[in-house]
Amino acid sequence: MEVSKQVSIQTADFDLALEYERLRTEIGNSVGAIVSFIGLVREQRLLSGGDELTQNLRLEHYPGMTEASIEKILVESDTRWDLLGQRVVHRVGDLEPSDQIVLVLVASEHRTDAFAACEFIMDYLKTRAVFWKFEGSGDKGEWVSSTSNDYDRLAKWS
Amino acid sequence: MARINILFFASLKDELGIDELNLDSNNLDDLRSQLKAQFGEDKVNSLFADNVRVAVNKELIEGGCDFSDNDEVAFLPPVTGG
Repeated sequence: MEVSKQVSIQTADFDLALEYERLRTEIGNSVGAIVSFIGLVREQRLLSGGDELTQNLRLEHYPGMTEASIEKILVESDTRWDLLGQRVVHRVGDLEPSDQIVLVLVASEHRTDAFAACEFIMDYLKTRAVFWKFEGSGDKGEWVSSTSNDYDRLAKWS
Repeated sequence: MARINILFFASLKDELGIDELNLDSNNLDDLRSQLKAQFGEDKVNSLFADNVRVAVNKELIEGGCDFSDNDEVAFLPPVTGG
């Protein structure tokens, strides 16, 4: 079955209820489960050089390539599970604590497929999607490095 | 020689002080020499570090690459999305 896949990269915030409703109406009556994940900006983060707390986050991307990198992940999840629809909204630009960063919605006939695919998509987004996070504001701050935990989680899916 | 457009992202953009550069180059090896002449060895080592990926026309490449006119060559530090 052709699976609905949509990727949006945007500076604007997103509305879970609206995105959910769009997906639900688009995929028809065979759907039995929709799983959602939302990532938020944590308030307190440590800079690697010391204990300074920063408030803001800036996300940079590579227009075109970033969308393609996420679409590849959704193609992969589609081959692994029986899915009806997938939607990823990822914000870029300046974000503050408690802001929403990322939304993943996955629809399937049975819940186990949607749960697994949603987790898979997030694990792959962390390590494959073309984004860079800068913690801080202006020149003060630093580019975030991937954690080894992010990569350890990939082993689960191999 | 091909006229190419080079893009630097995130930490690499900050390190070089520019996000974009146009120049004439034949291939990735030539480009490395040209960038070394312009930016110095340390910065070019950062660009060609093991964890930096190179994309040509938004496709990741492995190893070398011959350029064509209007190619977009991007240097991508390790990604941190999600």
